[in-house]
Amino acid sequence: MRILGLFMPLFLAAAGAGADTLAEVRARGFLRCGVIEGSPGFSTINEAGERVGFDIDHCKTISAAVFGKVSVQYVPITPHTVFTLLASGGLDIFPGGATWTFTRDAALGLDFTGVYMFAGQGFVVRRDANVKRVADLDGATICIAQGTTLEQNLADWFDARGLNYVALTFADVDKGLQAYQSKRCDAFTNERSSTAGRISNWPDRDRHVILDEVISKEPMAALVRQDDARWRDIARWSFNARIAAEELGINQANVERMRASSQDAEVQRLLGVQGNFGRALGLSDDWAYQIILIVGNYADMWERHFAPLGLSRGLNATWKDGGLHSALPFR
Amino acid sequence: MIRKPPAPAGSGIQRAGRWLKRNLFSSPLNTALTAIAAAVAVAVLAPLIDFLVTDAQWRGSTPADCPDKGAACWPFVWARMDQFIYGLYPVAERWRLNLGVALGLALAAPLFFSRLPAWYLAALVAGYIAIAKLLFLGGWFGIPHVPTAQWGGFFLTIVAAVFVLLTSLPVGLMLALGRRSASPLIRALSATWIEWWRSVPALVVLFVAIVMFPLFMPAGWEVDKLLRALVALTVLMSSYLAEVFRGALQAVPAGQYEAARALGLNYWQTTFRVVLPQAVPVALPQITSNFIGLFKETTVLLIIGLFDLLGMVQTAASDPAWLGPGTLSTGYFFAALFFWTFCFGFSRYSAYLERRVAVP
Amino acid sequence: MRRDWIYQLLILAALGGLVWLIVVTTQGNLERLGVDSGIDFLFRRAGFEISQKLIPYSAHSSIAMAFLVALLNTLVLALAAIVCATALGIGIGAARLSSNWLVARLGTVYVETFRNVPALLQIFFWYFVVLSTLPESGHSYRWFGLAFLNNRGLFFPAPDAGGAWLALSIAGGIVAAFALRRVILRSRERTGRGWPLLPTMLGAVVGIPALTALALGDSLVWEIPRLGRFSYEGGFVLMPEFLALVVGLSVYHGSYIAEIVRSGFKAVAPGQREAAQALGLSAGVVFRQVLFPQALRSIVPPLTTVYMNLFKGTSLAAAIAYPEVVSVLVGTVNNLVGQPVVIMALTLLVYVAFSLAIAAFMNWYNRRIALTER
Repeated sequence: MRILGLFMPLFLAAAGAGADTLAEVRARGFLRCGVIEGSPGFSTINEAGERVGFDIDHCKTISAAVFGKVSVQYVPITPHTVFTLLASGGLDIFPGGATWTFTRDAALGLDFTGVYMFAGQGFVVRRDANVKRVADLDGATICIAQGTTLEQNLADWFDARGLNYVALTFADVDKGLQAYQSKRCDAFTNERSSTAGRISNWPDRDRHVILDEVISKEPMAALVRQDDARWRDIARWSFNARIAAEELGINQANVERMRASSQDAEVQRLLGVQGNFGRALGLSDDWAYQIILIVGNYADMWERHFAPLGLSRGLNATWKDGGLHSALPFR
Repeated sequence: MIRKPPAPAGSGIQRAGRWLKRNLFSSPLNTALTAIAAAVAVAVLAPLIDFLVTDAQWRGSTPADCPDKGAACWPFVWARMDQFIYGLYPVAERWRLNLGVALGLALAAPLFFSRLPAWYLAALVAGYIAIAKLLFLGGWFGIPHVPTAQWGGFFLTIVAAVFVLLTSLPVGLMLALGRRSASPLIRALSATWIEWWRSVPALVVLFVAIVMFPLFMPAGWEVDKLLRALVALTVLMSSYLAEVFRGALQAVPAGQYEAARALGLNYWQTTFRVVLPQAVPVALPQITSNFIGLFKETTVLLIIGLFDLLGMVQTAASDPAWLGPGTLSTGYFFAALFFWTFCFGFSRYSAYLERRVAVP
Repeated sequence: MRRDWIYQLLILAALGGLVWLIVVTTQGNLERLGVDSGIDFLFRRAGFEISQKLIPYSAHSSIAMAFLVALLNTLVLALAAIVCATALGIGIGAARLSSNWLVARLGTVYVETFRNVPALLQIFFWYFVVLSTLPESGHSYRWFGLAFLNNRGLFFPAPDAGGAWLALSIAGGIVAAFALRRVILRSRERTGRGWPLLPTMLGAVVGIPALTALALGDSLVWEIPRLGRFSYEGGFVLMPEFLALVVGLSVYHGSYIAEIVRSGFKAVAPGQREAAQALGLSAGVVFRQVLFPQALRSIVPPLTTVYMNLFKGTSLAAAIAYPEVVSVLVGTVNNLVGQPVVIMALTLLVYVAFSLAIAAFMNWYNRRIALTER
C-alpha cells in the first residue's frame, strides 16, 4: 500500500495537467496529426515518398503556426478509430474530413474548429447501369465506409422517399471501393470530391460516372479535444488565416513583399507587422506569416491539390466569388 | 512407427505393380476412391498451375509487364518486394534491419545445436532485445530515429512474433504456477485472468489496446501504438501458454515434488531444478503450435492499421497502376507462400526438437 | 499460515487499489472530455441500415435492436462454420486414415496447406479473389430456375406465407426424432429388439415438415427469386460475405479438426479393432460400436478448443463487410455515440459469455460420453 501511496500524487498530478495541448506539442517537438491514407487530393504519398494533399496541408498549417516549420508526425487512422484516438490523446488534431454535426460536437468530447471545406455526399455508379439520379438506385446494393455520418444520411434519404437499398459497410474507404470495383455493389457513396480524387487514376475511369446530385451537406471541419479552448482557437484562427489571406490578396508568392510593403492595417495585423495577435494565442507574432510562407493561402492549396483532379471551387470559393468561405476579421 | 515389410522379391516393375495394387487398387471401392481423388487433384491443381505458372507473367518489374491481368503477375511481387519485406522503413536505413536480424540469427544459432544454461539464455534474450530496440528505433549517435509508424511488412511480422514469444513464455509460466499456487486467492485470480483472455478474440483485444488504452491512463501518459499492440498480444499469448504449462506441470508425477521436498529444496528450487526440466519437453509441441498460431494471428494487426506483410500486400495491390484481379491474387499467393514456409518449417523443427529433448 | 493470509490480503489490496486507480482515471478522462456514460444510447434510434438481418430491423429501430441483429449474425455464422468445419474435418481426417495411398496423401496436403496459412488471408482470398470471379446477376449460375448463384450471393426460394409454421414443424421434427431415439433405445435395452433407429429418426425429421407442408396446402406460398433491376429479389439469400466467411473459417479450422479426428482414431488401441473383428462383428458395427465411441473420448476435449477458436474467429468478419458484433458495435455504433468503454465492454462480454457457453456444453458432452465407460 505504501508504494501505491507514493505513486498516487503522481497519477493525480498527471491527470490534472492534461489540458495544455500547445505546451505538450512544444515539449514533444512535433505535432501529431491524424490522416486518412490513400485519398488522392487529400492525402497520398508521392513518388518521392512524401505525404502530400489538402489534409496534409492542414497538418502543416498548424505546425507552421506552432513551430514556424514543418514538424509533424502523421498518424494513419481509419474513420472508425479516429474519434476515440483523438479523445484519448493519441492525436493533437484531426483535419481528415469529419463532418460537423450536432451529435459529434455535443457528445464525443471533441470540438470542431471551423469549416474548411463545404462538401456533399455523392455517388459513383457504372455508366452502363443506367442510373441518372440517386432515386434510380432503388433496390441497389450500395457500398459505404463505416463509422461516418454518410451511413445515416443514406438511410435517412432513402427512408424519406420510401426507397430500398442494401448497405454494405466496409471498415475503410479503399475496401469499399475495391468491392464496388469487383461489382459486388452497384454504387459507392462517399464525400463527392474525395471520391472524384480516389477514382481519378483508375484505368477504366471513363466507365464510371459520379452523379451530379448530392444527398447531404457535409461541412468538413478539423477536430480537436474539447478540454483545451486555447488549442481550439489556434486551430480555428490558423485555418482562418488562409482564407483571410486569400481575401486580402496575400499568397505564398507575394507574402514576403506584402509583409515588407503593405500599408493595409489588417494585412499588417495578420502578418505580425502590427499588434501582438500571435502572442494572444500563445504563439509567436509571425505565426500567420509562417503559415502563408509554408502552406500558402486557401487558393494556393486548392490549386496544388484539387485543380489537377479537375475539381472546381464551387461552394468553396470565397464569398466575393459566390462561394461560402468568408474570413473572420483580424481585428 | 510404421513397420516396413521385408523387401519383396522381383524386378522393379513387378514391385511397383504390387505397390500400386496394394495401395491404390486393392478393391473396387479403393479403385473408385483413387479415381475420385485423382480427379479432385487434377481439377484443383491444373487451373492453379495454369494461373500461377504457365499463363503467368514472370519477367519485368513494371505494370506494363502485365498487360493481361487475368493470370498471376509476378512482376508486381518483384517490384514491391522491398516494401513487403521492410514496410515503409526508410530505404537508407534498411541496413539496420538486416544487421539486427543477422545478429539475432547469429546469437540464436547455438540454440539449434546444443543445450545452454538457463541464465545464459536469459542474458542473451535481454541483451538482444536491448540491442534490437536501439538498432531498429534509432535516435542516438547520429543514427536517425525511425518511428514505429513506419515499421511494416515482413519485418513487423517477425518483430511481433519474436517479441511476443519471448515475453509470453515467462509470463505464461508464472500464470500457470499461479494457477497451481497454494494460496486460494492467487489461484482464483490466475484462473479468472487466464479464462477471460482465452475467451475473447484477438481483434477485439487489439481494438481495446489501440483505441481505448489511453482512456485508462492519466492524460499526457503515452505508450507507443505498436508496443500497445504487442503487449495486448503478449497478454493473450501468455494466457494460452499458461494452459499449456498447466497441462505439462500436471504430467509431472507427484512423487517428484515429494522427493524434492524431502531433499529440502524450497519452492523455487523444486520448480526450476526438478519440475520444469521434466515439464518443458512435455509442453514443447504445444508451445510450438501456439507460436505458429501467433505467427498467423499477427495478420490481424492490419485491421487496426498496423501494416504487417498481408497489410502491405493489400495496400500495394490497391495501387491503381497495378489494379487487376491477377495482381491481388498474386499478392495473396505470395503472402500465403511466405506464411506457409515459416509455419511449416516451425512445425518440422518442433518435431525434431521433440525427439531431441525427450527425457531419455 | 497467518503469514499466508497477510500476503493474500496485501495482494488483494494492491490489486483492488490498481483497479480503483484505473477506474478513477478513466472516469476523470471521460468527464474531462465530456463523454456520456451509461447505456441510454442503446434505446436511441439507430439510423443506419444493416445488410443481413434475421429479425425485422430498419433504420428506425433502436441501437439495442441493431446489437441483437448483429449478435444473431455472429451466432448464425459461428453455427454454420462449426457444422461445416466439423463435417469437413471428419471427412479429411478419415481420408488421412485411409489405406488408399492417394487419398491419404491428398488429406495430408490439405491439412498442411490450410493449417499453415493465416485464417484472415484465406478469408480475403475467398472474398476478394474467388467470389469476385462469380458472374453478374444476368449470367447467374442457375439450378432449375429456382436457385441462383452470382456475385450478389446465393439465392433460393423461401416460404412467403406460412413460413413460421414450416420452421416450427422442422424444429418439431428434430425434437421428435430425438425423443423417438430415446424410446427405441430403451425398448431395445428391455426387449433386445425394436424399430430400426436411423430410418425412424430420418422419417421424423423429414416426415413431420412434409406433412405440415401438405396440411398447409395453398396457404404455404413459396417466393422464388426474380431478377430485378440490379439483382435478384425475393426469396432467401446468403450474402457473398457470409459464404466467404463460412468457407474460409471451415476450411481453416477443418484442417485442425482433421488432425484431431486422425489422432483420436490412432489413439484407440489396435487390439480393440482386432478383438471386435475376431468376435465376428461387421465392419460397420466395429466402427460404430467399438472404434468411434473410444475415439470420441480423445476427440472431444481438443475439439472444444477448436470450436472456441472458431467462435472467436468470427470477429474477422469485421475485415469484410459482414455485419456481426465487432463490425456493428465497434465499427458503426461506437462512432455514432462515442462511448468506447461501454461498447467495448459489451463486445467483450458477448465473446466471453458464448465462449464459456461452448466450453460448458462441450464439457457436459464430454462427461456424458465418458460415463458410458464400463
